[in-house]
Amino acid sequence: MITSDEVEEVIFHALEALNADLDPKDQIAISLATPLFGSDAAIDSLGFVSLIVDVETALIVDHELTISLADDFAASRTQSPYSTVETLRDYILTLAAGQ
Amino acid sequence: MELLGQYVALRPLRVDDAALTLGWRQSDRATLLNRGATSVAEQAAWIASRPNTELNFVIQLRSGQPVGMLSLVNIDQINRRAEPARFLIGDPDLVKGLPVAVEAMKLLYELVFDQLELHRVYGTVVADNRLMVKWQKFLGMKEEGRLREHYMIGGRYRDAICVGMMEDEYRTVALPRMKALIGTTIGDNPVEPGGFHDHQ
Repeated sequence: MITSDEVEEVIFHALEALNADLDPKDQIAISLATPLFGSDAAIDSLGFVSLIVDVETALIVDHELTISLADDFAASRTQSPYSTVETLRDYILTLAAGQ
Repeated sequence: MELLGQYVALRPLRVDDAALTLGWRQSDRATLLNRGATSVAEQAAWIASRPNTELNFVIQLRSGQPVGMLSLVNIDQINRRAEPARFLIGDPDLVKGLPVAVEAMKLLYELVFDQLELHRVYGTVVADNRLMVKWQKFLGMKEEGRLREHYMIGGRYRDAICVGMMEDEYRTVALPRMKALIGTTIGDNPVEPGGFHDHQ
């Protein structure tokens, strides 16, 4: 079973990869509280999709965990799983526990 | 033809959008697009001369604030295909926190597959534009090839990635993902019936 620390590491690495594609003035400060998508986020739609793609890929390649982070289940959640790194981590752990 | 979404609308590009759209096209964000017109008069002439195989839109918030542009070009009713093109969010500050880009693409794909009843969309993306390549693939496009040194941008040749998506891939891959991204945003930012955020 993937751990909370491992999921955080996957997300942080994906954010670091995103920063590598962004201009210096658009760099994302990386922490558990980093807003990912929504009114407080500094990441635009293209950046957010890049993040999701990299996280899904790393979960498959590094942890043999095949999950979809953007589907009807995600949309049905009362709180958006994309609000912050922390909510995305918790959402991934929920999906992993269901497998 | 105007296409209405929950956050944005696509309305036809008009000649009097020339100054606005020229400014977007000449911004740093459009570095990896073809430069095109260099004056408002040229841009106006270009808009006026669009052929009937194209549908060109301004992306606007439901308040009426224009924020970007998006086109459907090379509409081919015989082979039932078309090419999404000229996708640009011109004013990123106005769309911060809103799924504007996602919903604009969803509206265009609904036009393609539900109204025009086409079979396929396709296009090319500058290979260096890694975020756009990921974006297109995440939203259902599959890589179909690579055109070497296809574009001259910024003084050097750049490869193009060819992408395409069939109707069934749109319905099974792209549409659920777009709905998820739009739906989760709505969860955080409730929209009153008939009212929309125009700025976050």
